[in-house]
Amino acid sequence: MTDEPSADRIRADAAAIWREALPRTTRQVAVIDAAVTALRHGRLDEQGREEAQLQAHRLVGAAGTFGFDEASSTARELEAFFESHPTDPADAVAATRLVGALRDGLDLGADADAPDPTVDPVPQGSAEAEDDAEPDPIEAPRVLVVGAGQLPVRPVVTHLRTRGVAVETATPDELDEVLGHLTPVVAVVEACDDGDADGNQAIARCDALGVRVLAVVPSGSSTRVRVGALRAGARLLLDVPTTVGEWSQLADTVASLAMTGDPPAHRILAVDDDETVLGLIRQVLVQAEAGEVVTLSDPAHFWPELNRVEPDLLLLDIEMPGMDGVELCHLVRSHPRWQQLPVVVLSARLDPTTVDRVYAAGADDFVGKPVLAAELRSRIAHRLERTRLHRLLAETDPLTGLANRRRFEMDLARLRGISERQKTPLCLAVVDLDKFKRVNDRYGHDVGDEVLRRTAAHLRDAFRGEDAVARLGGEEFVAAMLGIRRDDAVQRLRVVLGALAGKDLVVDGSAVHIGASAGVAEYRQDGVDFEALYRAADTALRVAKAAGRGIVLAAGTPAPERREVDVAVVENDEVLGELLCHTLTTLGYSCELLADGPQAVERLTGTRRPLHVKTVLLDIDLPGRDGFEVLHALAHHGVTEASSVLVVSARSSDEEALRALRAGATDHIAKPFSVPLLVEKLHRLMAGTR
Amino acid sequence: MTSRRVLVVDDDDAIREIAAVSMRAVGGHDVLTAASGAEALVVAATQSPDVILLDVMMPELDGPTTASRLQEDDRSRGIPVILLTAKVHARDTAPLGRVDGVCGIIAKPFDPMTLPQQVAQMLGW
Repeated sequence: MTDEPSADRIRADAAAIWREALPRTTRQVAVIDAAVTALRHGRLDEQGREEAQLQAHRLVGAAGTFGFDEASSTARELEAFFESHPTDPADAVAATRLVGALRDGLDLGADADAPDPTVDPVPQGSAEAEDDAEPDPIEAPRVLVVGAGQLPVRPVVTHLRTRGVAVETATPDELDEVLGHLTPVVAVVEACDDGDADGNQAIARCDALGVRVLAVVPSGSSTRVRVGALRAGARLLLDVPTTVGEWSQLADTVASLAMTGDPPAHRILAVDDDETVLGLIRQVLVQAEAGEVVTLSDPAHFWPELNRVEPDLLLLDIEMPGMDGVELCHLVRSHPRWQQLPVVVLSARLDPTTVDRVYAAGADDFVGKPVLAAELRSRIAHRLERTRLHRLLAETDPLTGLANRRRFEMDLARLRGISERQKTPLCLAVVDLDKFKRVNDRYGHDVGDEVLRRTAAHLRDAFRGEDAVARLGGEEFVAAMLGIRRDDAVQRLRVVLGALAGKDLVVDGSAVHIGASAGVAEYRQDGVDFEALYRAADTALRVAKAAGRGIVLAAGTPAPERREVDVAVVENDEVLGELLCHTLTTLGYSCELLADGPQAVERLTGTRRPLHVKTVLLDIDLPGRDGFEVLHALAHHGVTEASSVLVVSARSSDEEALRALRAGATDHIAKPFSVPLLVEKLHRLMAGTR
Repeated sequence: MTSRRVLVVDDDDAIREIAAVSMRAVGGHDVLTAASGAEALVVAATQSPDVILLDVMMPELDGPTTASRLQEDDRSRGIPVILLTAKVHARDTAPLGRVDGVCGIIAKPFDPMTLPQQVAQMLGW
């Protein structure tokens, strides 16, 4: 082997893999922590206990292998603790200390610069305060799952916990009791099939407490069931998931609702020349907690005020002196920036002509004067909620649930701001799946879509916190990484894409390989805006693609040296090998002789200076390394797909020929062979190669 | 030490990666990986590895079940299997050694610097 087995290199690789696994590790500790907290409050259920034991068990192996020996033995103590089925809240004190020690041992506490926003922060060094009877509000479950029989509760819980979201479950009967001691942010409630039943009551109960309800209906439910759920107060309606992709989409939606926190702070700009009306509007909206209200009584200052306030909703009076509301509405819509801004118009006149003018000017809704508090409140709440959902959907790629390009460009702009302020580097990677078109052609679009979803899930797990990731379209993804220089970003991408190979899909008994290449550009060095960074990274990606598969390159790197020949002859018989090469060369083919198996594998599959050939002429009787092993290695590295392989064997048995063809060879020829026949076969193979 | 082909099977990305790095860089072997028992069956049957390092605790097909299935397929029968496990009690590990095809058990955590040596010793390479 060419690589010196260097301890330093292993350590560096191990450190990179460990960093990569850090969000996952953080979540594992959070699961254990949540179980200890639940025990402290006497609410540890079997599911939580089992989950904590499993995660502790996993940490025993992982932590120790990466050199965190103390953390490994702490995890083992925690595993034994949960294995003993603890029920006494008093035991939680010792367990809390173990969790603290685990966190310290894994260096998780020290990583305060890069907090993972998906995981609840846990107060450090508060061991004395552990006996508080009050549930810790930070750790209280944010999501309540209410199943009535048709919704499998467990997958919901598992998917959410792996996203670092604390979850509690209840049946409709237990609901009142659970809501007595817990106010979740989001409730996932199964809607009931028979109109007036429990499901809708549960939705109404949660909604009355200000909990955002996501209703799940059995697929095939009637319109009546769906409308019933919405009428009871559900904000979103989803079908019971059936595929893995749908499950993770459900979990992502719930997690994002749970994490966006309590009523989003909306800003409303109200414009009316009548100060009393403005006063009333302010009072109504503030009481309804609709958000921050900014009022303006002089329409002459409208434009600068609009751009200063940047409202989420605009409320315009139609009858004002000098400039009326319809004109202001026109003005708003005339600027691309405000195309999406919801506009609600106030008017005392509701005659058809006025209504027509208002809608023609681009308003979204109408409120009559005198203003009725309830009507104003509900129209505005409705408009804001729809805008929020609309925005969420407009920024999401429906197939994978990742952000789309539009959203990514906004994320990148935000990260550029952070990069400037904190003087920290920022990189952009363009990732493209290798040979994806072939997957679609060979296995169909369903498999292709699943490959895209798996890739998306993997990238989402890999790029968390301050990173951003999106699908641009087709098989192309982008990621923005904050706080990392270009060369390190390349290393990180190599680890991430290397791990992608582990997500291979099995279809009809054969593995569908998922592989990707990437190009990486750095902010400022390679460009400033999205377009320039994308172009630089994409150019590097093209060079990577040309060099082979699974390659990550930094912008500006020259292509790896690449040698192309027509035929590689893998033949240990020197005389025969020389003869073949001589013959082929005189016929005008370029030719390289590889004298044994290991050399053949190294030259044809190595990443340093790969030899690209149109055809491999492989003698199956090789000493040391059997020709079949060489063939398997070539197949494993995709050489049998890019090049044709003609296998030569001394025995003309059908069995061996068949074995070779099954292992990936293109054709077979038996020794002794006539040179013209061999040349003819080679000629045909090469004509068929790109 | 001659180069062999090693299949590493673990659903934990980090463990699978570090084991692969270890076998590749320290041991000088060709390494294949699989993230589940089901994948391992396919890879083992088509790529004929010289040894399979198999995690015990995996969802769906666990290590011992995967090991038995490997014995049911002509193409993978007889490939030596080494189980990786974080279990320490003899009562947990003893039954693992009696699974068909299993020729060794390596405890987790393992040391990436010596893992290839441990494997080589077990197999008499």
